[in-house]
Amino acid sequence: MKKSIVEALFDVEFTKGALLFFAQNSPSYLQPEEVVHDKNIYPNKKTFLYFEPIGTIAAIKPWNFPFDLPIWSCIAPALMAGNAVILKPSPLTTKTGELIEDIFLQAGASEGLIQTIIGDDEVGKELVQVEGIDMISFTGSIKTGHSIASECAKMGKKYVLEMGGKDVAIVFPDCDIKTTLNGITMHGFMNNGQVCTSIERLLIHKNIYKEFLDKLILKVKEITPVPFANKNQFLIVRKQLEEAVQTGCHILIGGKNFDEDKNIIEPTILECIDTSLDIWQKESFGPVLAVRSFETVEQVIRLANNSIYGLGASVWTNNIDIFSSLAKKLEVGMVWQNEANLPFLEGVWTGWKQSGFGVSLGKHGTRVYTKIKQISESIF
Amino acid sequence: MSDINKFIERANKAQQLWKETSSEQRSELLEKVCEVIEDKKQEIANTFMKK
Repeated sequence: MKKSIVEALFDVEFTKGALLFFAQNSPSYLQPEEVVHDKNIYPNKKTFLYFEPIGTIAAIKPWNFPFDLPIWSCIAPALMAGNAVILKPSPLTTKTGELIEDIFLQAGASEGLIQTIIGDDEVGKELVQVEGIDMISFTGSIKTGHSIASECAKMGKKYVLEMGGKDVAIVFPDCDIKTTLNGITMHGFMNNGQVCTSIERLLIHKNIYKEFLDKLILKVKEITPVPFANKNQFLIVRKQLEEAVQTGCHILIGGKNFDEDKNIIEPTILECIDTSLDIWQKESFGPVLAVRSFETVEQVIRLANNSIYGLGASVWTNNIDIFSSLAKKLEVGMVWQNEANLPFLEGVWTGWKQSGFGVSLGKHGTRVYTKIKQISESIF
Repeated sequence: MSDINKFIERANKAQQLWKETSSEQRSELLEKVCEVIEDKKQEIANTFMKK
């Protein structure tokens, strides 16, 4: 993974913020909670819920955010809840993974509390199947996520999964054009689109469609193409683009001049009416945006929800009524107005449908690393 | 499996002690980790940025 210095240092700063957030807030999230009984039914019961550690957690994490993601999605909250963590980083980012263990040791963590294990998918499989690992925290592909879920079910292990997305951006005529152009350009193409909450689908209201697209194309032209993190991803996205063109999609910018030696695909926007095509349905994880117009709110809800994924969605409008009614009907874990891909440490990071199972960040992302025990006293 | 089992053994042992720590001790570790990150931020960034 090769990031710019600005992006890399941003990830490091975000990590520090997350560590301090969990250090300050997890203790209150983990306080025992008294259950409110109906005194007419249970006049002499006093009951509390306790949030107990799960044990040893294996964190299987990807290459796109090799430093911050393992820490905010697992290590920080899991440690606060009293667990130990074994991190398996992607084989592409082993150095970053090893550094995480070193940093915790240097900060005074006891030996074994945070360990980094290096290996390929086979090691990941072993971690899922072996006795002594009590939970898997996974970020990665749907295919691997599915097999982790079924293996964990057999073993009685807990799991939390984040499996990517195909985030939609919906643009209404009353949006602030400059904010919307900047937001979609940034979150459609940041990190070469190799972000789970990258905008990959763009739905624009017909009254603004041509005007907005013309401006977006000009902006996207300014982006300097960057290489993919690996050849495999380059080949997947190139094939997806070639198939899209063969099935009737129309390239508006980019999509040609593939640089095979450097694994580069130019930032690409494709106009595609048929949303059943792969370019609308399968995660690209590259600098590729599929676009079409819509006419009504009902139609845009149908188009947006026509996906196996349900991670994030962004709605670009200054009309709060339109935003609110749409936000309630979108089948995703996170909806932003005039923003995209914005994590709140105090909120949740979560996906619906095939995008995931469970939650990261905040109170829920701390408690996910606990077992709840209910203890009920009888009062005499 | 043997290599992984060593990792698990160490983790389980550490966790048995760690689960008995107070929330203050746990917060302290995370705060200390933050300080180490601040000191090493360039080294960290170098592991995943363009040279």
